Amino acid sequence: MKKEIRKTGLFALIGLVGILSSCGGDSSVTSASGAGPSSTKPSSVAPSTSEPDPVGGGEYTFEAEYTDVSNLSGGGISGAAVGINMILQSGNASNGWYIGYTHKKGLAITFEITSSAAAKADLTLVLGTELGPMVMNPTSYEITVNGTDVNYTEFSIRANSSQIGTDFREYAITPQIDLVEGVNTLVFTTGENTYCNGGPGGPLFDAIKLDTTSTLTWEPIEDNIA
Amino acid sequence: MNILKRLWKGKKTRVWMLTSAPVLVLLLTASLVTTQVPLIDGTLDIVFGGARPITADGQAVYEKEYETKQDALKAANAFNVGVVEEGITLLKNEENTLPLASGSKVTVFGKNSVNLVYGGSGSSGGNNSGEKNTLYESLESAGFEVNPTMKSFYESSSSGSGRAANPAMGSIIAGFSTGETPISSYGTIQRNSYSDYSDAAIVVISRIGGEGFDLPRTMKKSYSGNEKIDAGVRNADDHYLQLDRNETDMLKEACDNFDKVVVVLNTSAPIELGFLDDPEHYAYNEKIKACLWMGLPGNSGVMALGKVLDGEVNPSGHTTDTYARDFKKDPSYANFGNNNVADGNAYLLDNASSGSYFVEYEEGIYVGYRYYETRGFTDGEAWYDENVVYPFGYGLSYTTFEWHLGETSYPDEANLPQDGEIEITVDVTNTGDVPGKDVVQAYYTAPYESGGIEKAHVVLADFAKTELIQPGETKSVTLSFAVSDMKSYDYNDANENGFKGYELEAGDYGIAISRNAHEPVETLTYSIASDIRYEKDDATGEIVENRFDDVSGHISTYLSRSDWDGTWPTTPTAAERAVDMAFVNSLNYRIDDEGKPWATDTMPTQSDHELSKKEVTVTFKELSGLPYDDPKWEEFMNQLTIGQMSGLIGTGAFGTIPLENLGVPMTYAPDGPSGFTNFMSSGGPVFDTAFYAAECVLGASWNKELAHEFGNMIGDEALIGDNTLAYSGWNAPAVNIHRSPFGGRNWEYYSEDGYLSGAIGAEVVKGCREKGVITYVKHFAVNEQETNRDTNGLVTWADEQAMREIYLKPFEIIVKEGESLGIMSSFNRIGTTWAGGSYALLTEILRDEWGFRGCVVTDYSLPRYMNVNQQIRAGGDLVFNQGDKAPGNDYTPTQVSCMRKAAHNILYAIANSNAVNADILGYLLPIWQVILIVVDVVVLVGLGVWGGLVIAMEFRKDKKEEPTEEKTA
Repeated sequence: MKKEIRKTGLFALIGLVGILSSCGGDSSVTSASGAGPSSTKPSSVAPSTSEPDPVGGGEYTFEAEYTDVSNLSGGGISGAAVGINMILQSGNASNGWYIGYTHKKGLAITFEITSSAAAKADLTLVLGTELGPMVMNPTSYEITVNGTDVNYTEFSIRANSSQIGTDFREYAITPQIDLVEGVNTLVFTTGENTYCNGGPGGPLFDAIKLDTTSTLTWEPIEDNIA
Repeated sequence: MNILKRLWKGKKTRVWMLTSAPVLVLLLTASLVTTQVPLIDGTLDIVFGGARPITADGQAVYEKEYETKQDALKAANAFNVGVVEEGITLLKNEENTLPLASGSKVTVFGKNSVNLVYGGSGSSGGNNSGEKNTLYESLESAGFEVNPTMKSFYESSSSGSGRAANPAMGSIIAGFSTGETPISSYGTIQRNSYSDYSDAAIVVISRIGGEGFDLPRTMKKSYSGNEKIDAGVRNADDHYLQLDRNETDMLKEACDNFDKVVVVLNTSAPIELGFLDDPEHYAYNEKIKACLWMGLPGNSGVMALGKVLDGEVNPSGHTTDTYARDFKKDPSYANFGNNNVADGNAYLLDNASSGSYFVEYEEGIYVGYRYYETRGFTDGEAWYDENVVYPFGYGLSYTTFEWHLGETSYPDEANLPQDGEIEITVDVTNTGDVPGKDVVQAYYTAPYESGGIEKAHVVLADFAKTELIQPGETKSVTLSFAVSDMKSYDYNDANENGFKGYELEAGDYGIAISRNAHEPVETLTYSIASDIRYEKDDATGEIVENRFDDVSGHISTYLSRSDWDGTWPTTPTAAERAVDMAFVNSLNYRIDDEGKPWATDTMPTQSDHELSKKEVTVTFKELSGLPYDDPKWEEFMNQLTIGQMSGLIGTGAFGTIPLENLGVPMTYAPDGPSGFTNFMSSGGPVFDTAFYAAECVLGASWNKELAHEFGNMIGDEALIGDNTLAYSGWNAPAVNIHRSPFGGRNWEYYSEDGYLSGAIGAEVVKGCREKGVITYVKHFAVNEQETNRDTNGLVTWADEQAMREIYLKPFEIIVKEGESLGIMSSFNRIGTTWAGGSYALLTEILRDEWGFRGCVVTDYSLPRYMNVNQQIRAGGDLVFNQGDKAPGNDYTPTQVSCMRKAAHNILYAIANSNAVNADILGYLLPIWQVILIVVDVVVLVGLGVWGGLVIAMEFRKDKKEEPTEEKTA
C-alpha cells in the first residue's frame, strides 16, 4: 500500500511539474547595447610644407583659400556665407584652411596661374565632402581651363566611415589640361546635381595641384586668412 | 492499480477522482494551448502584456513598436494623414458649400495643383523617401470625378513651366514667381471641359517656404533698383503673399464658369485673404463660397483633403496666426529682412556695408494678435474689420457647438491667490448634424494703465480640443493655468514701483472662454488684491532678473498701445545704421575670463591617457538614469582625457562620436522637424523615413494629444534608425515665432503665439522622450528671420519683456514641462553676443532659472564668429560641425573646466536616450502567465488537499477493519 501511495505521489508530482512548466516563459539574459562602429581619426593630407615651389617644372600646390572670393556668395547644408566667410579652418586641410559653402549652382572657385610656357599639366584636386559620396563629372561639377570645358573622366569623392567632411583626399583629373604661356584661368564650378537637400551640392575645396614642365607662379591673396 | 481500485471503491474518493481527472486535463490543455501555441500566446501578450524585462536600476527600456522601416514608414504616412485631417482649417463656407456631395464632378484649377508644395526646403526638406500622394489621388480616392482635361493641361508645358525650384540658402529673393498659368494660355479645349465637371471648381493657391531665405516683400526682380517684373505680377510693389495677376485671372475664370468655387490654400504662411470677404478687393468674387487652408502636407497628408471635401472628415483646425488684411501695415513690416533695399539692414562703416547686419524688434510685445486684438480694443471694431480678415484661433466646422461653463476652481469675481491654479471646465454640445471636434480657448485680460507695463488686450492662457462629439452629445474639456501665468515682465520698472521683473499687478483680470482671440463666449472676472512680484522662478526657485539690459536699451522707442501712431516702428535710416570701428571690433570674440563666473584656478582631474577597459572604474551604462550631479558622474568624467573631451565637443554634426574605451556609443541626430530628413542625396543613415506635414499644420490642430502621438511616432521611427543604430537625437521641434508672415521658415514653426508653440512643442518632446529621443529644440533664441541670420551673426535687438513673454516662452515651457534633453542655439546674436555664446541665455536663463539639464548644440557651426571657446564658457556644449572644430588647445584650468562641463552635458543627454538602451538581465513572465500559474497552483493544491483528506479517511476506514480479519485468520 505504501508503495502504491508513493507511486501515486510521484505521478502527481510529475503531473504538477508538467503543468507548471507548461506555463513558464523563456528566460534569457540579453544585453541590448548601443555600440556602434568605432571612430577613426580621419586620414588627412599632410599640411603643405614650407618648401619653395619648384622652378622649371614639378608639382605645384595652389591653396583655395588664397583665391579671390570677394564676389562669392555660397550656400551650406544649413546656412550661407559670402566672401572670406566661405573660407574655413581645419587641421586636416593643407595650410589649415579650405573653401566651404559650395552648395549652390554656379558657385565658382577661380585660380589665376601664370605659366612660363605652354605645357600640358596633370591636374589634381584636393577635396573633401560633407555630403557623403558625390559623383563628379562635367555636369555635376564643371571644370574650365581658359574658358574651355574640361571633359574629364567621372570620379567619385567620398569621406571616411565616420563621415568627417574634412577628410581631404587627392583626386587626379584625366585627361591632362593644356596651359598657355602667361595667365591661365582655371575655374571649378558647382554644376547641376541634387547632392544637397535635394539641390546642387559641391565639394569642400582644399587645394589644386599641377604637375608640369613649366614654371608656375601666382599671386595668392594671403590676407584672406590673416 | 490496486490503489486506484481501492480509491474507486470509496464513495468520497471516487467523487474526488471523477472531479480531479477532468479538471487536471482541462488545466493542462489550457496551459499548453495558451503558452505553446504562438498565435494565442502572442495575442495574449498583446492584450495583457508580454514578458517584462529585468533591467539595471534606473535604466529605461526602449522597445520597438515596428520591426521594419517599411512597417514604420507605412504607419507614419497613415498617421500623417491624420495630422492633416486635424490641421486643415475651414476659413469660409457660405451656403454650406462644403462638404461637396459624394461623387461630385469637379474641376481643379491651378498649375501648382500638379506640383504641390509638400514641404519647405532646406535642411528639413532634405532628400526624403517615399512617394508623394497627389491632390488628384486624394480627390479620386474620396470618390470625386475630376476633370482630366484640366489636369492634363496643367501637366503639360502648354500651361507654362510652373514654379521654379526653391531658392538656395542665403538667397535674398525678390520677385519670386508663383508659377501660375497665365489666363491667355487657357483655350477652347480647356473651357469646353468645364461643363462636364461643373459641380464645383477647386482652385489651388500655393506658396513656398524654406530655410535660408525669407519671402519676398516686392515682386520686382531685384532689390537694386531693377524695376523689371515677371509677366504674371500685378504690380511691382505687390509682395509674394498676395494673389498675383495670373492667380487673380484664374479665380475670375473659375468664378465666371462655376457657381461653386472652393479655394484650397497650400501655403507655408498666411497670405492676404481680403479677396474672401472684401468686395473692394481686386480678386473678390461672390462665387468664392468656401476656403480651406491645408498648409504643407508632407508626402501623404494631401489624402486628408478629399476626405474633408466630401465630409468624411469634419475640419477642426484653427488658425495659428492672425490673417491681417494688409501685411504692409503690420508693425513688424518696417524692420524685417533687408527692409526692401539691397543691404538695407546692414550696418554702415564709412557709408559702406560693414559686413554685419541687424534687425530691431521695435514692435515689442505687439506681435500678431497681441497687436491686432489690442488695437481693435483701443481703436474700435471698425478698425478691426478694416485690418483683420480672420483672427488668431479661428476655424469653422461642418457642425455647430454650444458651450456652457461647468465647474471652475474659483467662482466668478473671486480674489486670486499668488500660487493659485485656475481650472475651468467647459461642456461642449454638438448642436449640428454631423460629428465634429471643437477647440476651446481661454484668454486673459490683465489690467493696463497707460504709460505702465505694456500689455496685450488678450493673451492665450490655455486651450483644449474635444474628442469627436456626435450630434446631440456633450463632452467636457478642462482648461487650466496658473495665476502666475498671467504675469508680465516689467524689465524697465514701467509702473515705477521700484521692481524690475515678473509681476502681477493688482486689479481685475478678465478670463474669456473663446472660439478665437476675438470671439468670447463666456467670461469670468477675477481680481488680484495687491501687486505680486515673482522674484524667483516657480520651478527652480532661482532668482529671475534682467539679463539683457544692454539689448533692451538699444531701441529708444518701442511700440506702445498708449500711442500707436506716435510710437509706430520705423525703418532705420542710413544715419541710424552708421557704426564705428569700435562697434565692428566688438563683434569679434576675445577670450576674457577675468572675474567671470566660469573662471577657475582649479585644474579638473582628467586622465592623461585613454584608459584600458581594465582601468575603467565607472562604465557609461551605469550612469543611465542617474541624476546629473550624482557622484558617479564625477568619477566617470575623471576618466576622460582632454583629447577625448575635445573630440566629443568638436564633432557634433548630425550626431556624436563614440568613446569606445568608456562604453560611450556613437549617436545619430538627424534633421527635422518634418520627420527624419537626409541632406545627402545618397548614403548616410537616414533613409525610408516619413516626410510629415509642416509644423504649422500640427500647430493648427490645436491638439495636445495628437502632438504627443506625433512625438511617439517619431520615436518609433527613431528606434529602428538605420536598422543598426537608433536615431538618438532629432534637430526638432523648431519653436521660433511667426513674427512676420514673410519669415521664410514660418512653415517650420508652429505659431505667432509663444504659449501655443510651447504647449504643442512640449507634447511632441514628451512623446519623443518616451522613445529615448533627444530633441534639440531650436533655434534658441530670437531667430525669426532667415535674411543674414548667419552673416557674421545677425545682430538682433529686442526688449526683455517681448523676449520672455513671447520668444523665449516656448523654450521655457518645453524645458520645464517637456523636459527636453537637448536645445539647439541659434545663428543670430542677441544684441551683439552670438546666442550660442551667450552666458546670459544658455546658463543664467536656460540652466539656472529654468533648470535645464542636457546638451546645447550649436546651429551648423562653420562661420568663424561661432567661436567654440566662447560657446563652452557660455554653457553651450556640442559643435555642429562635420570636421574638427574643437575648443582651443590652450588648456588653462578654465578652459579644461569648461570643456569638462560641456562634455558632461553631452554625455548626460546621451546616457538618458535610446543610445543607452537598458541591459536586459532577464525577463519576468508576462502577467497573464503569472495569473495562470497561480490558478494552476491553487487548483492543484486544492485538489491535493481534498484528495489527501478523502484518501486518509478511506485508509482510516481500512485500518479499523484490518484487526478483525487477522483474528479470524
